[in-house]
Amino acid sequence: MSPASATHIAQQVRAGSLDPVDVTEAAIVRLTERDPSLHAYLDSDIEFARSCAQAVSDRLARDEDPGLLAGVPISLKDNLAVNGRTLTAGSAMLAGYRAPYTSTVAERLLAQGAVLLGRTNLDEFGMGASTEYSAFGPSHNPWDVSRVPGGSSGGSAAAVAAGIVPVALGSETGGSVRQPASLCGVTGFKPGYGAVSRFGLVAFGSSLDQIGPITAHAEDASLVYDVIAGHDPRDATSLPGSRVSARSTSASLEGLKIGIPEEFLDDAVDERVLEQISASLDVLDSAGAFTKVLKRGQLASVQHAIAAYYLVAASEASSNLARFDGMHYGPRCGGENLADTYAATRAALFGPEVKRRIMLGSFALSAGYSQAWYQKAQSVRRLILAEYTALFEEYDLIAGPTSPVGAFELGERSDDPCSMYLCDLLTAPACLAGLPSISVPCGLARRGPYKGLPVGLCLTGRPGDDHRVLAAGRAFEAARGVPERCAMYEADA
Amino acid sequence: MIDPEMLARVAELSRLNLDSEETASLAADLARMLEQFQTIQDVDTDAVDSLAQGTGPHGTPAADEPESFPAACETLTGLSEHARDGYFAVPATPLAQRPPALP
Repeated sequence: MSPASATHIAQQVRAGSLDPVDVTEAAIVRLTERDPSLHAYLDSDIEFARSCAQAVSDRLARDEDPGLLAGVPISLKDNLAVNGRTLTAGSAMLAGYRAPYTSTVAERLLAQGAVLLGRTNLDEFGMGASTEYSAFGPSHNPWDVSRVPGGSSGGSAAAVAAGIVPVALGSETGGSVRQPASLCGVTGFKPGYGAVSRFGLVAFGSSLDQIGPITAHAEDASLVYDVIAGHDPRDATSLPGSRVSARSTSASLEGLKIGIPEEFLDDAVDERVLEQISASLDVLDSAGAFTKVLKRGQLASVQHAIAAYYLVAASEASSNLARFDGMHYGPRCGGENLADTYAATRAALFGPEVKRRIMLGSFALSAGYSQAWYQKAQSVRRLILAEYTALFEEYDLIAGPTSPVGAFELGERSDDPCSMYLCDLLTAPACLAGLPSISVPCGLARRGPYKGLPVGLCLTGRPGDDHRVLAAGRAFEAARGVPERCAMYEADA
Repeated sequence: MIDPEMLARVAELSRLNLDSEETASLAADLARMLEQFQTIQDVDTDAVDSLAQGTGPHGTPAADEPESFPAACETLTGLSEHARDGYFAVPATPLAQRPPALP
């Protein structure tokens, strides 16, 4: 059977009524049976998982606290370092590379008894919205394997939606946790900037990157956030001080004021997606929230969010990816001298989307153009944050669709980068503003090209309100009921 | 917006050795992107400061303190098949291509 929630598994393991070794073996069976049709994983860590489970079992035998995630099978996006394990970031540039240290998030998961089952597929260096830009081939959506799972954390979302694991970590720069969660019918949470340490995350856009959980049950996003969040001196952007526990925050929508900017409901959003969002607003109202569609203009700058996001993220990527030159790790391609070798290695081993973004970023940062493009984008970013800040004077949450479309067909957008970029239309604004934001499943499209496929509702909160956003996600799931699952999730393993 | 000379300059800055087919494809993609992003130029940002990261008003990033890394040399050179004697071996750079020495 597919896994129970992480919360349930950990409770049962801690109580001694569930054997962590059995839980792990069941997850290994699911991975072995289901992944061949999904390609959600780039590497499975079967023996490592078994050793994690045995360690939990040993702690229980010694009467020690096995941790908040005791025996819970978890997968990591393959841009998160685990000492001694392969780490590719979906790129041929890092084929065969093994991480020499462990990311803070993985350390915290392991310390709380999690069982790391494997590392999941992604668009190369997190650049994409479908996993089709992975150097190792795309992942498939468990709802319909002819469709994409979204991206860039598509492998993580597919693994959770298929019931292989109840939890996987993703990372988000412009929508890469929430968008695949939406397309796969699971919950995805992007923490506010600085809430979760990025130490050990392969950097893409450093002013935007955040690591977040993708879970089959909304309550598990709160549990995992409580484990991975917190100050880390090894990440200079990690905010000081403690974080408020999401699990301890009351999951109630009663009295919450929720604004829905008209900009999030315009023609760019598929009408079948909008139908489910409309039904979600009824759920929110029925549960005691006050929802209001906000007249166009109150979040006017989001119409420029895609431009601002891609200019900023590409600029930062062009700088961050300068380190990949074949000198210190990874394969090296021949050249007559050092400079030629850099250029030959990068040309041979980066994929087309990464090259596009490096070129865009180099252009936007180049002398004579940076004021007009990069600095302009940074100023627009300020405007977007200012507009959100003004809305949060009156509203507790901002809501809208997570993705303008449902899961699209493999190959439908991969040759058209501008079309692919529009997948980030509704998620990029919260990333630019550094706000906590969650996508929760809100139903299946009833007709049209996405008929029978999941739609996600996005809830965004104030800076520092990660716990409230997570609690609202739990409350929405409780009010609406358990999300629909795909056949693969429901299948016996 | 991007002429062949500019494209060559951007490829050089990007340290990408592109063949002619790839150059043509990337030129077309960049032109389309910049056309799509052109609308950002219409936004009045004269009195708006830039925002470098989204921490917002909630806190200031911590100091970036260096941390020791056990057996750093062995660990890091061990990642490369091109390491020798505790160093990364790299292709030679002709004297004419080396940057001038710092004063």
